[in-house]
Amino acid sequence: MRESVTSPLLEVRDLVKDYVSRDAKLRQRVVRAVDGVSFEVRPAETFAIVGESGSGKSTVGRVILKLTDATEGRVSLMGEDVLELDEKRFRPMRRHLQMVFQDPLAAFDPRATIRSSLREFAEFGGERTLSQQDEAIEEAIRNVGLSPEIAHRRPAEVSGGQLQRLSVARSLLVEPRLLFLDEPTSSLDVSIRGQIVNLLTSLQEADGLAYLLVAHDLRVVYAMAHRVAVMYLGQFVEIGTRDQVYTHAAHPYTRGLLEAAQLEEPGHAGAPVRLSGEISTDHLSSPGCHLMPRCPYSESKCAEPQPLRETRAGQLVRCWKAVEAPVSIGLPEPPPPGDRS
Amino acid sequence: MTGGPTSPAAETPPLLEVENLTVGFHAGGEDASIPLQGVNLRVPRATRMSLVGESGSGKSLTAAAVIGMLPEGAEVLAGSIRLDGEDLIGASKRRLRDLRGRQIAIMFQNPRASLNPVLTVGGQIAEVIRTHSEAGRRESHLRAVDLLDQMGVPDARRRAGDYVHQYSGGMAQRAALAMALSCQPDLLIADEPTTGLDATLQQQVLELVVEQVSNRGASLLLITHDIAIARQTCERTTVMYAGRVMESGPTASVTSSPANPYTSALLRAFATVDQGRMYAIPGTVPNLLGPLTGCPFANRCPEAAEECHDGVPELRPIEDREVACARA
Repeated sequence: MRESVTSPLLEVRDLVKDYVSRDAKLRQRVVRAVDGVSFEVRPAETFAIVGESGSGKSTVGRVILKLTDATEGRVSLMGEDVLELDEKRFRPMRRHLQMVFQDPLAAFDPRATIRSSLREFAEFGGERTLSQQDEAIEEAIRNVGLSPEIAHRRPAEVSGGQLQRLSVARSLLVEPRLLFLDEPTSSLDVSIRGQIVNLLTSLQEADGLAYLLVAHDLRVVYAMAHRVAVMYLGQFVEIGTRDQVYTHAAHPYTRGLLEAAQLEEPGHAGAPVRLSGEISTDHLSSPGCHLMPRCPYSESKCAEPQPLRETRAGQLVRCWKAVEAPVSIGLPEPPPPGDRS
Repeated sequence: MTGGPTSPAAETPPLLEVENLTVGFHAGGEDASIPLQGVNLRVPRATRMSLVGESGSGKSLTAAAVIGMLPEGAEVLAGSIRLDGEDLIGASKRRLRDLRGRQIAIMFQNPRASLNPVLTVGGQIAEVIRTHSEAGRRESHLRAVDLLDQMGVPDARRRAGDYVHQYSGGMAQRAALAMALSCQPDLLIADEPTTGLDATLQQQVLELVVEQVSNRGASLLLITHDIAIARQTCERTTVMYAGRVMESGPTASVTSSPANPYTSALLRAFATVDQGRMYAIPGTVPNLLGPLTGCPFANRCPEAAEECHDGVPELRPIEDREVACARA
């Protein structure tokens, strides 16, 4: 695992996002979609947020991209507090942070050729001449393993896997430092999924790109991520290196997710956890653990607020039992002090 | 959850038998295509069979042909579909409708597609029960509530009076299963029943489907793109690719020692993950604009030889399964 000493590209501190909705009786109801989330992403690093739909993982991305306002918290991109910037001052920053969406077909203008869709990005704030733009477009297309002739076609005339490569090519035209990848493979077939994963890894190795990956596919996250945060109803319930989260998962929710995914490898330590019921914003009203109504190990103390606490060096878990009484929730004996691997 | 390998019942005819099924779109037109090219599939009684394939493999179209609900523009060009020995392709619309209600039921990826939004959940299940049995209004309502309760809908008596939009995703899929089972079908077709659901919920719903189908002695045809789901739920697995069946047999042996290189490739795409790298099958699925002239996987297959481009390999028995590969 790579340990970078460079300063983070992206730093998110205590991010909160509330949505106001109305229920059937038109009573106003505040839903806290993101509840005090903190993390950072360093150059050449892939930080993944995993969780079910409704966990708030995509909302985190939307706030960072300034597609929606934060309620509280701080987001700094390359040292600049982006939440404080107005649209005009944020625009030059946006070049450093690009995104790749789940459905590439929705991300391209169906009537425009690939070339003209890419050209908007190739202009590079007017710094490139027309022939430099064409060159940049061709190079970007080759860079993602396609032949430049594909640029004449329209989105409907290329396959889903090719179009997802092209959407990566397009975002790289502005030479960003960080890509926000929102479920980049979930619209693709299994046999093609690996092509995108391998492409993204090669690009990262070549240019030191950083990725913020939001995904529910635990196989893809395992392949790509250096560090992983597991999100449930607005909160990170566990954060650690990829191997800590996959092989030493401590939170019952993480273990339930891993159990459900039935990964061939790696094996995770601890008893399998079966969660009952399903995610519901009704469970947000408790100040304690949001998983409590679904967790096989819950008891009254779980209704108290649960801070993130360290179980291993660098691995944080939001479950008092995982820290104080791991054996009671089917985890192996903790390593003796001094042997914290 | 996976049962042991069952021996293919040779004596009794299978519940569902699809032979050489060929389905085309817009035959003769400029945009003609032949997405199913000679599909063979047998589902024995009281057996859970998965039909695994990527998009474009023809798995959902095969199911649509079985229930007689092919999309606009599609027609059966050749082959036969028999349910319990009765030919479905020649059957009248009325007979098909009757069979759909009584012997075959289907549940879709989106549970809300099988439930009427303007009727209460319990009410529409009761109506199906009334149509297919002698039960009266009160009796059928009680049976509907009971069925919802068996499917794990909490507080079923009250929830039967709700509309489907008041149900969460997981509950709606439970209600769709209750609806599908209300006519006591011999064959339940489940087309990607958990694809839209979250991981922890997927498992609950799959277990429920397996339990309910097995308890009733019915058969399941589970259509999925996820070979891991097939492994969790079905005794037998049929792998499709580009409108053809590539391999079929006991799930345990198909997934642990695949005989067709396509099955191996699909399994590798699921299992192998190193730091930063996943296995990807090179190339893309062939477009099926005309009849195949060779193995559909030959252009992507690491083991392809000249003979593979020369004639479409037929499905032939090899040990405990059937394989369509010239080199197996």
